[in-house]
Amino acid sequence: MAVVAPPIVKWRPNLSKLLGGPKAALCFSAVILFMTWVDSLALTEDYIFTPYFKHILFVSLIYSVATLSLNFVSGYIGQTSLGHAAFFGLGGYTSALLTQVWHLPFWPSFLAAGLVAAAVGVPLGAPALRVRGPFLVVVTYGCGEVFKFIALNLEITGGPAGLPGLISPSLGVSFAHIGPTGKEAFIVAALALALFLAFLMARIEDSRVGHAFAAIREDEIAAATMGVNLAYYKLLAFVLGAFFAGLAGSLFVHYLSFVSPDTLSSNESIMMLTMVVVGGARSIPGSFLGAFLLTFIPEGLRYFKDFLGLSYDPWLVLFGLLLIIMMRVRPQGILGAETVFRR
Amino acid sequence: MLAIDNINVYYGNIHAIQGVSLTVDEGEIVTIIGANGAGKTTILKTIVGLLRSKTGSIRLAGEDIAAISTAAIVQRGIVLVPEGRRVFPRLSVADNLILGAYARKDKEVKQDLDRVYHMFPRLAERKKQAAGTLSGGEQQMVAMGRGLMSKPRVLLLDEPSMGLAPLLVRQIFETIVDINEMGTTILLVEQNAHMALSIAHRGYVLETGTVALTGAAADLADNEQVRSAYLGE
Repeated sequence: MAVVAPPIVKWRPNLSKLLGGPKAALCFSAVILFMTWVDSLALTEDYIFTPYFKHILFVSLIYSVATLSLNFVSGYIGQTSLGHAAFFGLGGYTSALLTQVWHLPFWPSFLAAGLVAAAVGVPLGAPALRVRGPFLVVVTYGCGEVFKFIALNLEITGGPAGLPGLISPSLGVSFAHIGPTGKEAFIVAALALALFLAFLMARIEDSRVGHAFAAIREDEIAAATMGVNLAYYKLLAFVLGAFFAGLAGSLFVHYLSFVSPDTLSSNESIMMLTMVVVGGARSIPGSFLGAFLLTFIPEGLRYFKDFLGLSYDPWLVLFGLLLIIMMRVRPQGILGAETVFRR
Repeated sequence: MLAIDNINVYYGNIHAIQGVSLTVDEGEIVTIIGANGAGKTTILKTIVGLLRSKTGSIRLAGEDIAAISTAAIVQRGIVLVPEGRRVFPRLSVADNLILGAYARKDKEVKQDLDRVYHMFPRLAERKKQAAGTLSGGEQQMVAMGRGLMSKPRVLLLDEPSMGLAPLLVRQIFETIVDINEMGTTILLVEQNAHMALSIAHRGYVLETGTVALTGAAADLADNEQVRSAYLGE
């Protein structure tokens, strides 16, 4: 039987506690489900929540999964990874190819997407056994780019054009035919995936695995002397993160019915890491917050750009500014674990 | 209890430990003294499996542990309190101690936590404080307490006096004697040869990877060579 480890005392602001529990998860789900469902009643002529809004909602939830999964590496073991989109895109391409070339149904392909990403997480995580900090940033960034160029240049992946016309998931009925906009079932699926991952992570934090992660994050040498197997747990963090990123990527490309090398781009990796940093490393509600903020704000600013008649996207300027402000004012992120040392 | 026979450890091409043999009997305090770079820390790291010897054997109560994992070695009862303390800085004192019991599979962690708090009342007062905010002496207590949480039969201490004020060094060494008297065998690596020889039963003098001298601690403290080279007399 597994040994139940005593809980690790955390320094979290009360805000995170308030937003972190199962009650908060219920409220959050209720709000999302309400927004997804209310238009089915056809109370008004127009949509209450437009297809555009629902699209952003779905994307936010997918990024929530990506951000949560990046937390295994960049939160729990405290190593910066700039290659997370590689797992996300790899999951996307895996299920795209399985469904399109080998004509498998969506669900087994979805699972395979996670497993393939996890399998690639082993060699991609291997450098983390030897290098850390800025060196690992370079390695993960480079690996991510390699995947992008493979996708750009192979015939089977469709080159720069990617693979269009991917099937929609279905549970008896195709997801694309459920609900008034065809996005509703995708939102529910993404929410379910995000909640499952959040629940799993909450369980891991106070388990032996979570303790091992904490020890490695705080001091590798001390962790090793306590008998923590560094190689095993570092790879485990990469593999777990890759698995869920792969699943998210798969659901995402089948929602778009299209996969392109853009899903593998380093911009995506940087965005995911920024979501972790802004929301708060190691904070489950923080991951959701980071993903939602950084998905909704740029969309909101797009209106602003049209309104002011700007020729450039103001988001790109604000994005850098936001990161600098975060580093200066709250390096642990909005809902991040309270660190004792300011770094 | 612990018997090391003819170990050779390399860092790349550098032959750091050259055929060292040493024994630590049950209930003893044995010290390894020597200058910087003599290989003291390397020996300790090799015992717990963080480094590997190319030859020879390391036996704990007769069982060869030279090839098994650090986790398995900790489970069998040897733990290293590393040089420079290496507490988990942003975790609380309590969490540091709990992580010390990481390799254990039994459920008596709570009792041992109380035992450590009893031994170091200072840590009980500060159990919720982040370990990195403690003073050097308190951090050394955390590191030693964390080591004790694995319920070791043999405790390896690497430079426990490093960077501490003389008064604190005295306190730490008194605690080491207390721990020993409660039944834990101790292998102590120190640059502070004077203090180390004053509490140890036996000692080894290490010079550039080889044992230059060995004997009862009191004899070593009287030895001309040791007095001039390590005791500053």
